[in-house]
Amino acid sequence: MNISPTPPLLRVEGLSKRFALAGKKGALLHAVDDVSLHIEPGESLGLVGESGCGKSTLVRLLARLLDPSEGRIEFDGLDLATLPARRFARLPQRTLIQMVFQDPSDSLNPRYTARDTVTEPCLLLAGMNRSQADARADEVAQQVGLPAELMSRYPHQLSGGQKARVGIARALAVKPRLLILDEPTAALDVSVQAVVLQLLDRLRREMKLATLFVSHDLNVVRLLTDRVAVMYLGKIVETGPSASVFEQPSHPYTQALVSSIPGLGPRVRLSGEVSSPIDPPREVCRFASRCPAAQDICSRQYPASRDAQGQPVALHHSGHQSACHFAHWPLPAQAA
Amino acid sequence: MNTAQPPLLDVQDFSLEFRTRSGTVNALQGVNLRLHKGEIVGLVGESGSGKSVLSYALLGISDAAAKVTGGSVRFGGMELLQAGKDALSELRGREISMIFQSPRTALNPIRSVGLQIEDVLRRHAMATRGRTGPDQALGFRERAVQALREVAIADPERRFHAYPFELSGGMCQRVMIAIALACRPSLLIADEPTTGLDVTTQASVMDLITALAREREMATLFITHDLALAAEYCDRIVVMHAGHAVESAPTRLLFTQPLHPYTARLMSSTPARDSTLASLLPVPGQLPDLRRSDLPACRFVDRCERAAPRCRESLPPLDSSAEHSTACWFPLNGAAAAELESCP
Repeated sequence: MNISPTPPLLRVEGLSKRFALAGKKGALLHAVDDVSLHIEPGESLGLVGESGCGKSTLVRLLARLLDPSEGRIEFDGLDLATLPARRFARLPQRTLIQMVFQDPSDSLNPRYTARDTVTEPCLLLAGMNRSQADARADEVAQQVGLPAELMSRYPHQLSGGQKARVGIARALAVKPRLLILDEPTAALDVSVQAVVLQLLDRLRREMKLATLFVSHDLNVVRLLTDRVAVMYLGKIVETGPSASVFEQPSHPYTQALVSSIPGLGPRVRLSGEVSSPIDPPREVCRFASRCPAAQDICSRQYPASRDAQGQPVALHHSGHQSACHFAHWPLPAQAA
Repeated sequence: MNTAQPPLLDVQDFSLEFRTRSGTVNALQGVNLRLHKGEIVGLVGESGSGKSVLSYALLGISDAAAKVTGGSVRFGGMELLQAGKDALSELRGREISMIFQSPRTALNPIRSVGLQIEDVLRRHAMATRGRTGPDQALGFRERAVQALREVAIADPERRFHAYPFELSGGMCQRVMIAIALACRPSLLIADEPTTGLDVTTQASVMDLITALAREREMATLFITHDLALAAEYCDRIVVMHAGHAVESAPTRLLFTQPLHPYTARLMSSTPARDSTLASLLPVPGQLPDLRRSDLPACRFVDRCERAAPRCRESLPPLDSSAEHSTACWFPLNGAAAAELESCP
């Protein structure tokens, strides 16, 4: 008898977001293009990519701050994509997915004390009364290591690390099951970053939280995630267990990205122009224009995802896979 | 690089404070720093370390509330702290240039990038006369296009007319480099030139800056909070903490034998290839409030496990003429440290 495995907490299929461009009639910017991914309960998925890759748009779609053009977003069995973002904002399910934003100086209301910030979602979303919300705020402040006397302070009276903790506390206050972190330590000094990263790791293990961790800092992503997805121009080009993707990147773009980390030796040089996300031709690999290993087929057929042996993979395969015709050939690194 | 020659830039015992409504901020204290021709030096520190404040002070473009309270800054034998406004204005862009952190903020948004390069060339037209070489005969327009080409901007004749908003972050940064290098300065100060850029763009911008620096034997002061980046590109690194220069060493030595406790902590809190979360050791405590009038001599004393009463009273100066020096009584592998450990 076949016992079906537990379904993933988050399952995304064929998700796309297209923006109409002002001025150019009919032209569409494909910010997120046919993205499929999944996150198991308690799992941490990293999302990396550079500017213009669509990760910010993808994150906003998953956090349901934005409506998709098409595709499914299944969360714990519920298809969130069909619910307009505005309606979702009022539903109790809103508490299930919470977000920690990039720059706490931007995302904390400067006129709210830390306590106001953390109790607000409790009052508005979790249906708590004032005293319940206060108790919850105290509880979660302790979990994130925020001393009680700081709760009455305003953001400008807090250090960078303290503000980051307030943002995390706010997200955790309503007991989400999926936490989305958008570059949570990018604005912090490296010494403070270490503390916040250790905190995030401890919290996710203790609370068995699934997390989506978006960052441009590959070293940080490697530390905090079980699996990682690499995005380029709206598409996911490679996914797999984090250690595997970083040690043996298989997509040429991932190889270039990993080799750009300072101190890691010879760098893969990318040349040529980034191709346009506006009305991209469907059958051309998005990276072909800059790929050191591009060949004819790359402009004629969009590559399917394959595993390390070159075999095509199923849609929600968790192993290491990449969308390249030549994924199982290692790319020769050009000397720096 | 030839350290037997006198240094191109010699900063000695430099101190600076800011007068603010909430008190006087002792932003820089007794900083010693040297740069030789052709040398690439990384100035590494976290926020509040004073690294950007120092770079602005070198160029004489500090905030109006800044006041130099001591020391000297000699550039090519000339004392910059006593130079008049006109003399400094002549130097800037021509002999000493700066690349700023956020290219879109630094560039004029309503002027084409090509014209912004021409502006610098025209301003220093007096200086470029008399320089020999193939570009002597070119006009300002051609020289600006050439500058764009030198920073690897494709199709420079067309890009000349582009506005900053039409260019990507990486290209704006290249334009800023072109502006800074247009008059072939002998000293380049790059203040966090790649913050905000993607890691692949960062790599190519840094490659460009260092290639041009080597080619022109230009001394470069590269300011960054990213120790790994400094390690990749710099000959020497100077570490700053709370307004002090705490250690100066050739890059390899800094990593293999850090002397200052802060340096060691900074390195161990930076995620590297083989780090684990548990191996990251954050720097304990916080920066001292630089407005205090009772600041200890060593500003790291409250965050340091090797601290002794002596550290509050006085601090050995950083010897900028030594290959590897630190401003610490108990450096990590020093004899004095051994003495301390053997005390009852």
